[in-house]
Amino acid sequence: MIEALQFDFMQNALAAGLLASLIGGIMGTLVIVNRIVFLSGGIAHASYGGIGLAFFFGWPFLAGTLGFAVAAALLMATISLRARHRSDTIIGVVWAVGMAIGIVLLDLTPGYNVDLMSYLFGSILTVPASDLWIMAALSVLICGFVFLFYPDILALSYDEEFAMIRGTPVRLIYYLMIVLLAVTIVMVIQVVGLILIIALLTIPPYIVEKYARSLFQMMVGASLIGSFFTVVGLYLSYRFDLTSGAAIILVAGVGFFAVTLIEQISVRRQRLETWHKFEREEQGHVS
Amino acid sequence: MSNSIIEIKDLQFAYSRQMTLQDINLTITPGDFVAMIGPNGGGKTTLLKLMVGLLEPLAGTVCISGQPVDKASHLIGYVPQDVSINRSFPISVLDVVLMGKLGPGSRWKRNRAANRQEAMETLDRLGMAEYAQRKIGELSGGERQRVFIARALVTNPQLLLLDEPTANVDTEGQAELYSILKELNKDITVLVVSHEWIVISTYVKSIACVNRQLHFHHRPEINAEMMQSMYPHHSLKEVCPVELVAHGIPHRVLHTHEDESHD
Repeated sequence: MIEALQFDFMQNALAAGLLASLIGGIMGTLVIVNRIVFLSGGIAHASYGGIGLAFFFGWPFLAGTLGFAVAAALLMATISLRARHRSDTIIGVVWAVGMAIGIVLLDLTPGYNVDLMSYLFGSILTVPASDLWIMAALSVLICGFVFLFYPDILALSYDEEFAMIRGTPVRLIYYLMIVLLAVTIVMVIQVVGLILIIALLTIPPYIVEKYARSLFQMMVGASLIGSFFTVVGLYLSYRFDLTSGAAIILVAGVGFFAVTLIEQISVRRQRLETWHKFEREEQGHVS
Repeated sequence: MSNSIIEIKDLQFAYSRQMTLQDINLTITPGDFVAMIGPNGGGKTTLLKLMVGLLEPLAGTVCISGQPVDKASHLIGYVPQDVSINRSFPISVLDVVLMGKLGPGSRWKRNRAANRQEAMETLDRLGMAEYAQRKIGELSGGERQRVFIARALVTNPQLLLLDEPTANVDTEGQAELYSILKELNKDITVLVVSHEWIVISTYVKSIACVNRQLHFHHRPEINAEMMQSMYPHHSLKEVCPVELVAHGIPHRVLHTHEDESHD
């Protein structure tokens, strides 16, 4: 790994991966505890529509994708707040339609076409320094949001109705969170791809959730574990010449299944121990 | 000024094509201990949400201590249904209670030490102080309810509203919870939504029967007529589980309508 870091592109890739892990750990925690994984998937896919829009009309790339993603996210969030039991369907529709719009608009755009693979898996090895700065700025923004509103975010995520009665501006904070999520997804997709951002949003927070004693611990833990997956995945992709995004995701996936397996085994061992202890006590009574 | 803690006038509410609540009039005086009972889907939780301002009535008014609900939220301690809350959420008991200290503007004048102390004292009052650092998901149903009551109490309410507090609690825990509520009722007005309504009859002072309409009874006698109006399709035997008699809880189900009118 050390030798790999002589290369500028490797340094940039590592920095991008770590920043994505940090952002993914914080926003992913909010996604998991608020149960909006599907909504995040919807935002990520629908944002492809923004890419199409930007190319077709010749708009600046970021303005097109960000605008489209935020609009789609707010639409989905509003509908799911109003009609909770229907939210999965509506998200599914926006998800598919957004992506279709992107593909058709790119078909209609003469000349250069965006490579769908780089949208899916990103191009972490070719990240320009300017993108790193944007991601760093976004990280600061997200940390600031969490720092300022932590008690409200906690109350909203844990028990929305109670927070509402206490006078917390629940709607405002919820929408702020959704907007930040949309911005996060768009920015990070450019760097690491759609599939990696979903993996970083879900796998590390899920692994940490059971052990964390607070939302803050969960955010920190998820960011650290995400960083570990990223570093290992990047090394493997360098060493064995693999697609870097996919390598990171596979490492995270192996981590996910390993932790699940270990938990199963330790629960079983605990049950057996309880039983053996019970038996010994029984025998003690008899003799 | 009225001396009512809750005053509902001509309230109407519908979610869609059917009226959920119609012509609701209710006045509760300070110090009362009210059980709100009725069949599932009869509108109990809806009425509770109207009382705390989570829903708005189509017509009519809800006043808490003479003020409209949206200005009176600081007077209300609310204990929601346990089922609506995510159990694997990473949060400690103490942090759940501290949520009760949240309020408009409180972010800038956080008084952490004082709030923590008050939260700990409240937990102690409910016998939960030793659980303060535990994760909320590790507690039993009854313990969790006490934490939610503590969270409602640190708001210093005049009125405590509880939605099905005994839903996930065993019979023993239910009795403990109700004696806690009885103790709290010395200082504040308590209103409990429940469908395990026979169990509560020894603790409460009044009963509000809600099944689209509302009937208020100042004494906790559950009579045949009340049951008929709420469960019209059942015979008495079906809705009056015999095992509750066997537990030795004073059972006043069979007072007749004539008895009540003579009171």
